[in-house]
Amino acid sequence: MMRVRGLLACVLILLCTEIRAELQIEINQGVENPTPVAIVPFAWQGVGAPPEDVAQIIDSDLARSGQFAPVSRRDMLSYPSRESEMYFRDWRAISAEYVLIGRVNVGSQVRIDFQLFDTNRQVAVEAGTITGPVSELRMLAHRVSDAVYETLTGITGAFATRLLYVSVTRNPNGKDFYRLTLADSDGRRPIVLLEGRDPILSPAWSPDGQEVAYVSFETSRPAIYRQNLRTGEREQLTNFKGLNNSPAWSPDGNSMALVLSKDGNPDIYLLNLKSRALTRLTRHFAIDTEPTWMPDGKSLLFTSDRGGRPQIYRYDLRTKKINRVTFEGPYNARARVAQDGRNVALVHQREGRYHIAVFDLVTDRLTVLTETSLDESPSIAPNGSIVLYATKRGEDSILGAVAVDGGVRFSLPAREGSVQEPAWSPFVTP
Amino acid sequence: MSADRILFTGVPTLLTIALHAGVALVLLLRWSGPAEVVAAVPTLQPVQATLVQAESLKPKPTPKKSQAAPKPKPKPKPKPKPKTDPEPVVQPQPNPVPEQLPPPKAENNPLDAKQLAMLTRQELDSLVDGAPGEEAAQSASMRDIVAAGIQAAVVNRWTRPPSARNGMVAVLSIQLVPTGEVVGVGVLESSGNSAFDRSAMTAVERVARFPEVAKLDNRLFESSFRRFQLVFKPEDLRY
Repeated sequence: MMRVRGLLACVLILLCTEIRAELQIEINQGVENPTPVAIVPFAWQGVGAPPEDVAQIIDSDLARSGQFAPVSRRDMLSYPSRESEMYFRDWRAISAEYVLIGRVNVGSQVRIDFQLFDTNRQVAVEAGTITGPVSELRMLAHRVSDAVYETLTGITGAFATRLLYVSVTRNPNGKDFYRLTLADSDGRRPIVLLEGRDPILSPAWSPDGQEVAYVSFETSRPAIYRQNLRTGEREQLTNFKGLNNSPAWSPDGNSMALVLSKDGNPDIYLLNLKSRALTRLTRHFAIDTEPTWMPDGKSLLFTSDRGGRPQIYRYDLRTKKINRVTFEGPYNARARVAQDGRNVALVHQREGRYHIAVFDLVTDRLTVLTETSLDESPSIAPNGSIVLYATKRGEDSILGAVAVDGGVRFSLPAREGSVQEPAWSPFVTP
Repeated sequence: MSADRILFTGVPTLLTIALHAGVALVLLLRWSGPAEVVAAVPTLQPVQATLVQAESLKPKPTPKKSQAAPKPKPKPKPKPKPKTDPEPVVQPQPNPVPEQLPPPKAENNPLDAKQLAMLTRQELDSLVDGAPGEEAAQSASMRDIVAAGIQAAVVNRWTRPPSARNGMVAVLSIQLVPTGEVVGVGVLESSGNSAFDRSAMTAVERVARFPEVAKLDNRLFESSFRRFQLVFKPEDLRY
């Protein structure tokens, strides 16, 4: 009898342990290892030699993001361009977790077909076709990068975007030479929009990416201009006495915030681009400058030294109230807000050095991103992942870039002279 | 002629009878002669190993999913009752118990079912007597150690996509074989972000094998690690 009871007890206990839920293990941390990807040279179906190595462009894009470690072509065991030619074992052997293959077809237009494979699960995770004019082949390649990036990271890629920057060639014997340049996001294909011996400042993008605004001294005193990138059409917007500075297009494209000192000292104004009505936003004896819009268009951030030292303030367009935003450190200036409306890139002074930092508007936390000491003019990629800025290297300044999460840093190839005031374009619809 | 007949019909018949008799004999001996076998066992030394084995036997009846279940399936419970007086073995038991370590490869032991049954019964007795037994505690801590090992291995291979945010949760179902090899990874609960889910699966696939699991005894493996869940829930991101 005892035995039977014993057995019963045993069975009961077993049942209980089986009913208990499966073991759960929580994973709360991770590492910042770049994901190994293989970008296989794309098959070329056209006359003559391909004008661009599409796979190489994608390879560099992904490498630059810091989140991917492209596999060297020398290590690839084959160059498949179709799914039927994929041998997953070959790719797992060289530890490539994703493989991108594709074909470039040239007729009256270029057509790029691509497929992205997950070698662990041996399935295609993304496939697509991109078409466009032959002259835009590099941009089309960047759009493949965007598709791959979005699939693998969950964030929209910003490779098929462009940069504006001012470069200055120093002339010890006379006036410096200024150029306003438009380039692809990888710094390639630079196009000079404006050049001359008069200073060019504060380039800014219209929200649709079709126009740019900047300050030029060509009339011997600063004035704000807008210029259409397609037509080249150009228009002078302001010509006030004193400073005409820091144009910032509103997110709806209808107005522009700018800095004028016509009424004494620099203050923030709002220019309605249709009616040309000018509204004064700030009225303070201190310097108010460098306005930038919150993505919702309801408020502006700007730099002011009304508290004694330059700090970031926020102006609410509805209530007309001004609140101080930054408190950490003696100097925070030149804010640029990411599209998420949360991260603000700015110049932060610490121990006498100027660094690029990112300030989180929700947690009020400030994180210094750069280790260089004379960093200025941050500009955030439209997907919020990278901050581009100008930094000194020797006598000249170059463009540096750092991931918003601090993960990667790289610099863009220096063109001629010193490069200043980069402005990253918004997303442009092809 | 008749000789042939005997040859063709009589010989097979005889053989058949002999075979049957043999089988019957073997069976009989087996049933009746356990005492000797048991007696022989104590000299076998690996009593500790046996104990673990017995433990591993116990849960056997339950996990039916096991595809690669190691063999030690022999007749589980029927035995205990007939066994009435196995004192000699029960005695040596207590002291070897603390030894938990040596047994990792308890797979093949052909130690007969009787002995195992006996041990199981002893275990049962101890359970009924209310002594929970320190093995339970031990295996619990063993489970924690292995779980921590798994956690560390996955953490080291997990690259979160930049779209990952604190508070996202993805639950994966992981299937292992006793060698610790990952044979199945599936999403039980998606985080809603496919890049995030994929990063979690990739982390497990990068690890591919959890060597610490191979050292576990069967019971613990079956109860906790043949199939378990990994909850991916980042907490150290900036936001």
